[in-house]
Amino acid sequence: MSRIGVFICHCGENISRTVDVERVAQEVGRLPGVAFSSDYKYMCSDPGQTLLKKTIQDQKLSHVVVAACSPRMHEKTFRKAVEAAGLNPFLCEMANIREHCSWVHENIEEATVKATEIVGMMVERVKKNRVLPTITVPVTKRSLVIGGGIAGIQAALDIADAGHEVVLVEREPSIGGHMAQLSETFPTLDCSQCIMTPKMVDVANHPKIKLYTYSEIELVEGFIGNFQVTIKKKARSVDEDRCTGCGVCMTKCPQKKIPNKFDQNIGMRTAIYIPFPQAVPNTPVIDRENCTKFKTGKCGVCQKVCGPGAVDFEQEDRLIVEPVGAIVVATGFDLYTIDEKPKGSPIKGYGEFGHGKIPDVIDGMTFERLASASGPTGGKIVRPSDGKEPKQIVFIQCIGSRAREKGISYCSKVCCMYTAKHTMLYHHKVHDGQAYVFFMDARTPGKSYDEFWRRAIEEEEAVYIRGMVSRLYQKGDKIVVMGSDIAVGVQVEIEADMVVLATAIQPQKGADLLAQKLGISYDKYNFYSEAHAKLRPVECATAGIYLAGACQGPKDIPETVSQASAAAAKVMTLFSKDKLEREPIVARVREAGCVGCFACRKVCAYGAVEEKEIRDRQGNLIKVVAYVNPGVCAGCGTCQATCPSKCVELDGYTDEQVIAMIEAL
Amino acid sequence: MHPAKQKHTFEPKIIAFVCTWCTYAGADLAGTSRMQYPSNVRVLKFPCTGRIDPVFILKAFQQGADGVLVSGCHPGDCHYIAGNFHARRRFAVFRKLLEFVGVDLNRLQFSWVSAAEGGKWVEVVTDLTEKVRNMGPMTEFKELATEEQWSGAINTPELKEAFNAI
Amino acid sequence: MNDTLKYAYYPGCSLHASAGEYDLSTRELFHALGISLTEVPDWFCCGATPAHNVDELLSLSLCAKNLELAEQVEGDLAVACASCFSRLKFTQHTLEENVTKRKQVEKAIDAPVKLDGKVKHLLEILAKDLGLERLAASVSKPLAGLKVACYYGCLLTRPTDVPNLDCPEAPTIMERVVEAAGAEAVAWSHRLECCGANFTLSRPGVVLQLTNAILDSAKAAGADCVMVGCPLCHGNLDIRQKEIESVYTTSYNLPVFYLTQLVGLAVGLASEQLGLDAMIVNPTPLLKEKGLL
Repeated sequence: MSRIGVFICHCGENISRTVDVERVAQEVGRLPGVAFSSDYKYMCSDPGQTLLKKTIQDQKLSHVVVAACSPRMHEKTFRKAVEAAGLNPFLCEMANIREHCSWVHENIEEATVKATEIVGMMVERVKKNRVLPTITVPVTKRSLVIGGGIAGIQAALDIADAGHEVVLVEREPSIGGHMAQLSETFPTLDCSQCIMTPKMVDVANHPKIKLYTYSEIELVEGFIGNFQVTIKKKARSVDEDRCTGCGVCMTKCPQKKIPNKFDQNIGMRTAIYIPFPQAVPNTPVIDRENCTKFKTGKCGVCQKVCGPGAVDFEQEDRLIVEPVGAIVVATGFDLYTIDEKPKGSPIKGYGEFGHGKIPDVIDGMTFERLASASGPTGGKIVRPSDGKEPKQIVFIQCIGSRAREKGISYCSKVCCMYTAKHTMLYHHKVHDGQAYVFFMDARTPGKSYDEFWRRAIEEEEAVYIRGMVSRLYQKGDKIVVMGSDIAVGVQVEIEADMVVLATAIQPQKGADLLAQKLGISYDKYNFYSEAHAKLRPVECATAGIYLAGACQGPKDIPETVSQASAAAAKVMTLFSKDKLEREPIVARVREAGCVGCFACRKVCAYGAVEEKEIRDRQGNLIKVVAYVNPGVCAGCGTCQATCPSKCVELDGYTDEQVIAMIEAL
Repeated sequence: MHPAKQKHTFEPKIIAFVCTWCTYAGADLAGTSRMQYPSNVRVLKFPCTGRIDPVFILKAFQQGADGVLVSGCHPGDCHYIAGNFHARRRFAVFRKLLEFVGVDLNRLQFSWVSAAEGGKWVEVVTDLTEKVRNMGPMTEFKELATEEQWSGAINTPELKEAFNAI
Repeated sequence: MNDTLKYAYYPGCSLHASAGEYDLSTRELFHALGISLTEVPDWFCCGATPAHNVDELLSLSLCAKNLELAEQVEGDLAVACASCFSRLKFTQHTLEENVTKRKQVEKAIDAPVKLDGKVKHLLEILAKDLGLERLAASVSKPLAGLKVACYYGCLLTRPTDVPNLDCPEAPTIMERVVEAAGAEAVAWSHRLECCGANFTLSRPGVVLQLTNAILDSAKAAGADCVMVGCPLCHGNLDIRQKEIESVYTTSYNLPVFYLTQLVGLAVGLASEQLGLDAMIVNPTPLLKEKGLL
């Protein structure tokens, strides 16, 4: 039999002014199951809580109802007090007679009647409350970081420095990402690789970081604190343990003219290669598609000249399973291209700019490789078509970005800054060169950013023309750029030697497939979705998975590094306990009735519904039912309302509890 | 905010099923702001409108509610990502069923009230209360309950004809 | 089989007047290809530029009524003039999305608005419905050695999502059609640049400047002639060519053909059937030189 204790709070005068609290206590005291009913001035105060605890013990109460303010205010407070008195906290409910009653009704009679009904409703509900023990989930204190660009590197270093093991997986043969491709970075113009390579080396040398390069994520299973990730380590054809990084193989490789992706395909590499000189690890990879040995069976020179005997043509892809407790996704970005897109694609190309077929119309990253001292031209700005130095370069902003008609509505954030930077780099290298920039707006909000942009105009002689470009075409060896200058109101035609397009930032190819493997949400552009745009920018709705860098949205290096450290901090919070404690408001499946239709799984936004096999004693499979993972379930209850067999129940909000409330009214 | 109450003998009983994160919080805000509204409504809190089973609405009417309100987060803002979308779809179908059964749909209201919309909560509750007050008490379910149950005997001309036609 | 292709035909005002040779060559060509064209009974002006500049409801109503009249004839609606094509497609596009305007138009024309009929430009019919293979198979006198600058102008492929004829900014349909006829289509920069259109009446200076750029580009690319699908583009490039040459002291001598005239030549039609004598810049010397006449 229930022995319910009811405590009506005056809340000073806030409740007692319009609600006759004594009367309510009396009326409710008469309800069956109520063993104690009284009023008190301030239930949340120290003496109030002491009264609560004492009464629970003295009166041997089985349940508690505190009628006071909103549960959103003090439910935790009273549940803690109740727990301290030895009762399960979920046997305590609050009746909201302040925000929902005393504060909104002036008429004392009406307010008192309503308050009595509200408390009565909660009394009937609490009778159906069950003991709910806190859920604990063990935590594996190892983290996976997907992506070895600056975001992944920063997150990995932060987590590893805190003493936890990190598994860093990078798709390319080397870490470094796009930042390694840049020449100088804004707003300080310091050399990108100079600031980055120390961090790359730190990653390679860190005792707590296990680095997998030339590897991809194959499968992700499990849940927060308990993931099992299968990593596919692609065959480099080189034994990493034996290779000393001497580089002789590369000098002897006969295939020397393979376009190097790192150099935006204007620089060449060999078939056995490292993408750039400062690559980490400094172990080459054989590009089997272009290697003579793999294509025809002949050659094999690299193996012959390799002193340590590290070249292994028989090497195969390997699958390795790593257990981790948290995953940081830092897969970065790719650049939009203006070439013709397949029919029906939501994103369109720029036919008016030649669909990428004009050789001297390049993108910003290609300009970076030209400007980079370690790039294919040794830092000389030259035209890809004939190697001549361009005397007039036209830079065009917002290519793809902010262009609803091309399928991309967002702003790519970094291009105004890097275009200004490009004009300055160009001016430094080609003193008699003239840069023109066609722009719509200058978005330069960061620290020292606007000053940087103004410098391009005021000191470095860049000519900024506010207006857009409608068409550009090849005329002889020049490119005619047809644009407009809206400040003056005229059409402008410039015969340029080179055109640099500030193309939109897009998520990496395959971002959607990876998201599906992880079970995280992404938007229509394939950027990964954060749990809350303002308050939870580095977490996913899926517990245990965090975001860092441009995979979540376009951003510059300072923001990326901040976000990476933030994600690492979240991981460290998770790892600060051995067990993860969760509120037990989770769903449970009544396996006897479940038919395995998995309608619940379809509506679960968290992927908390798993399959569970029910077998008989001989081990034969009887049926497959739904199982809600208590470590992942967020407690919304959508599954319960969806279940056609009424076999899943949300602890804390069962049908019984709800019906009891309705019947009480 | 609410007009002077007319002298009326009928006080409608309004039951509201709301979600914790948005509407309940919006109602709290109305309270904190001391906005005044009719006292007929009783609020039941759920984690999400996705949890609200149509059976609860039926039960509420059966228990004598004259009006029922279901309110949650605006589309796109659901604390649990998509629970309110599932609720919306579920109730779009359920409304049709209620209409078929003969319940006047003016008694059932769905709304989106965010945690910042204290004023909207007051508006929604007041409008529904007054609308239902003017409609009078809900009698359909009570009538069903008092109707005689069919005994199982073939004792009317229509039943005899139907039986013979088999 | 060729004779299963049947179309309703909307010539538009220009084809019955200043662009008579476009109408003539279209009918003759389609007849030769075995494609049936039945003129829409009682059709009237589509409104072209004047209507939509002055009164949108008028423009939509004119086209909507013509579309309704076209329903009486079996087959999709074949259109030769780029401007009529653009207006009809625009009307379908606007009224599909905007219910309010649809209701207004229905009231104005006192008839239901029919939007499911397909409006096709001749290029689409030749390249897709008939198909380039069958077109090439019908060619008896290929235009070998003729270098053609295919001029699209503004309205055939733009704005995106309205005409849906081909890629809006880098189309190839005209080139594919003229190549099926055996000619060589040159790559040139001003294929999609505006000719000035109606400004020929109000601001001819603008037209001269724009058309000069177009012809200059065609000549620089080595073209022998220009091919168009629009009477107004034709007018600006052909009728005004002498004036352009005079004002800019240059010489082009680039005949401007309608697409049906060139394809008609390739299919073996005679000069009289194609209205070649209506062209201001005389094509005869060029065609004789290439052995095509």
